[in-house]
Amino acid sequence: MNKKLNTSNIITELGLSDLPRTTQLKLLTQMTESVLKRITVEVLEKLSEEDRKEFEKIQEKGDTEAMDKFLKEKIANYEEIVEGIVADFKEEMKKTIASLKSKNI
Amino acid sequence: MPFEQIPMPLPEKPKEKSLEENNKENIIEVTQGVGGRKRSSEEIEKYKRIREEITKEKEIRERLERGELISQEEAAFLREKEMLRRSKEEKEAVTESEKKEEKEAVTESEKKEEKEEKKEKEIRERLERGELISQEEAAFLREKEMLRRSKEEKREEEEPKAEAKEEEKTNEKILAEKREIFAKSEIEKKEILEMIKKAKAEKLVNEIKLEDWETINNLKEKKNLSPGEEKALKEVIERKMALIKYLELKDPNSKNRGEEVYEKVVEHKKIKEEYLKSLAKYRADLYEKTLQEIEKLGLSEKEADKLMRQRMEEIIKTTVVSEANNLYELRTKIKLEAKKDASFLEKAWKAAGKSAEWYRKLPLKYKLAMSAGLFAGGIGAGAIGGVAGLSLATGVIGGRWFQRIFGGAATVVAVEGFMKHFQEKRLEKKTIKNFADKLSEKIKNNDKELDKKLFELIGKKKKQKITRYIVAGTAGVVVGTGLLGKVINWGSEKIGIGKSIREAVEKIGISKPKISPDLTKVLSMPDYEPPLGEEMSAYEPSVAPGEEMPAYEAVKGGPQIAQKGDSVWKIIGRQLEERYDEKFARLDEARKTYIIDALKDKVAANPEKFDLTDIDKIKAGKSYDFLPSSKMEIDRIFEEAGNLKRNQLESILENNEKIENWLKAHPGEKLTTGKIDEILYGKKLPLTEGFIYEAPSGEGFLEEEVNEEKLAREEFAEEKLSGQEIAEDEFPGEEVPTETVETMPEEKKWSLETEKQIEEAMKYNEMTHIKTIGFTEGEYEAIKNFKIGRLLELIPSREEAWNNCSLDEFLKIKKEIPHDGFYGTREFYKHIKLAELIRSYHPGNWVKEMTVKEFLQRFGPKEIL
Repeated sequence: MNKKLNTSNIITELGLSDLPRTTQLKLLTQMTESVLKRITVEVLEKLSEEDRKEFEKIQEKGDTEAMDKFLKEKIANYEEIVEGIVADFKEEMKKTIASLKSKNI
Repeated sequence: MPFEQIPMPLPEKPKEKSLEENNKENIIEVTQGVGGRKRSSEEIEKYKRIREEITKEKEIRERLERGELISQEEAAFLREKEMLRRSKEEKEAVTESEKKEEKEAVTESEKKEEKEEKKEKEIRERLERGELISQEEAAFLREKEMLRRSKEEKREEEEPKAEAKEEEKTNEKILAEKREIFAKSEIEKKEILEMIKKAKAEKLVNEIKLEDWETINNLKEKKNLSPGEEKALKEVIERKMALIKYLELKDPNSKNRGEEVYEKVVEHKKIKEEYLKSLAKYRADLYEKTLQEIEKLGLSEKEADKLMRQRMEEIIKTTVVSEANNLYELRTKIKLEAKKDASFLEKAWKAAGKSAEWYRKLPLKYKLAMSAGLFAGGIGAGAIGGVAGLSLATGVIGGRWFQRIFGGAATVVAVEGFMKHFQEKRLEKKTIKNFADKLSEKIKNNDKELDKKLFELIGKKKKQKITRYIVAGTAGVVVGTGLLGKVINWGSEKIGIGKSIREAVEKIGISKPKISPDLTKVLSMPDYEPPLGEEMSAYEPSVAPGEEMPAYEAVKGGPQIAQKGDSVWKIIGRQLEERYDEKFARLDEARKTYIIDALKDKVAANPEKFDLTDIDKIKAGKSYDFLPSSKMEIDRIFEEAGNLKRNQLESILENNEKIENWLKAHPGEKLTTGKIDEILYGKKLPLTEGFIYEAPSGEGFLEEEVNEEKLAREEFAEEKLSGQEIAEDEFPGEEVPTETVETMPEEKKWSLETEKQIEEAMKYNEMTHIKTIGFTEGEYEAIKNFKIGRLLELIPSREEAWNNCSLDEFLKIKKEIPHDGFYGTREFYKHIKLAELIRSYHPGNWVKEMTVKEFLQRFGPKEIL
């Protein structure tokens, strides 16, 4: 995991700073949604079947604090995992953009 | 003469055919619906059954009328049909009543809104005067303010969804499909792709051509190869072996897997190319949409070009990042599908969707606040839980987490962007207001006899609505003043991009009738008078058998006494308003324009039938009735108007704006149909009267759930009208009057084929193309003598052309292609349309030496060759 990446500005990194602000916002929103999906899937994968059921119950109550506490307790290095997903996202985005711009397979 | 004629040889007279041969040619299989959609055998069976029943019912009723006895079975059949009809009427009555209730509810709500607005205004005025207001009034103001903000935020969120235009759907959908195939292929072939990258074999892969795989399969088993084939096969095999050997050398894992590696590489290459091509097409859609939006700004050629280039850069970046993001999301899903059982997949993906939905639904300010990292707290558990609402304010969702993703970018983007956005909105509103005020003035100055109805309509609306009404529908000017002539027929020209003119023409409902090839030739002659009016009433029942003519038709919207300054347009407008009342009044101005123009075209096609010698000359005091007697026909036009696409509606409004600008520049000058042609197309169209509006609608007609019986009746009537014979094996039972299937006598047919008529047909074709592409006279003059071959070399496919536009390639094109002064994206787009149009005819190499003009004259709606 590249922690350095997480502190940098994704808009600048992807060369989007000259786009209109509204477009930047739209892209930020899209990217956030995608990352959220990946985080959700990966976090759920790390829970046992029993824990997933427990998590679902907490989720239904809508107690976000309890959810946060639960995930931190059940998943070792929870914060690092999330941070890793975010870092991977940035890397993957850059690679894909380069690939889309090139003719290479 | 800007569009002079070039000499053309006369087509050869075909050999005379026997009666048997003629009959054979005239039998056409009815396998297509009104909109040209291919029918399934089930549908054919269904329509066949309906038609048989119609005929049967008609026969029984005729026998009854003649006083003949009918069997019990026949009586039961009639009763059943009657019951069905009543049940249908009852259902319709219920729907009407529901609609009425809904309308009343809307009116009530509007009244309430109006009352509250008035109250708010009064309180605010008092506040401005420094007066005190009560606590209740303050609470009322707060509530209104909150409601307004909430609406604004909701609209902000929904805007991107609304932006998805109908005409982009196809390419957008294709892109989504290709993207998924590509993402799957990437994951499936991950090992091979990594092998290629690790071995740095990209160059060898790039040398492999997409058709290589096919060449090998086609030629490897073939005996006696030609020297060309032998050479091609040798080259393909050399490319293949070069990759396989290189990989074996670099990566021991590839040993004995040469064929597999090669096959997968070629397959993935093809998938990627298709995906990128679909992305380029989608992007081309966005470019064209943007160009059209820029056109509306009224900038100079250079300014528009500069702005367009800027927007193109933005589109490139945005689409690439969006695509990368879409692929990322797809990979999440595909990986999930590959790893776990179906039950987990479903739950996890549902939860993931919930997380995204939760985020998406957040009010903008929370979203921004979160993005900006204003809240401290956990690391995303709230997001995963999918909990929305004010709990966010507690800081459960971490700004920290967002900071990690966006590294501070969100703060800048969010706050500044947010502010700017709202400032822009305010500015936009202000501009619209000013524009609307000026427009009102223009209306008054340019036409003193402005239709009172327009002002009555305006008078009834709230101030905001007036503004919107006038600005959004400059067509209001047209409807009110009867200014617009030939707008609609060619208002939809944009749909012709990349398609043949014929397709474009058919889509907007002025296609040639469906007839035998021989008759097509005759009908395409410029002086052929189509049997539209009388024949229509003879063959198309205005009311279906068993259906009573609604009483209101007899009294409402009937003949009108022409007033001074009246026009065909105005009279039709009045008739429609009277007859259709709310149904017509509720329509937006573009649709109203479409309907009126379609009906006006019917008058223009056959003015004598409507007691006119010239459609621009209406005698005050005389009575005119311009509505067709067939309700069905008018209903169909309404339906077509309902199915108009956004670009078509925009085109109508654009054309209206052109006319309005002309009026401003020529106060007091009479606006005739010919003048409108000049305004819109630069020239009076030689064959204006020849544009025959044909009632059948586009694809939308059959797609909707329509009454099948009604449809069958309409088609039945239409086929008779068009002179098309119904194949006996398709619809046995139907008798088609002899005169409808007869082609015109040979003698008459050939008497029409004079050189002059060919010349007219060529002009017609040329003008049709010019209008479709939208060339100005200068632009066409510049390009008309350019060779087709070179044009097609310079302008590749639409997507390639657009995607190369920002590169050096564009400068190369600009240097060589003849153009009218400054060559910007606007004219470039027209050249793309021209090249696409030429390609849509699939011409052979023989046209390469033709000039653009020669080509456009020979190919088109009227057959020359």
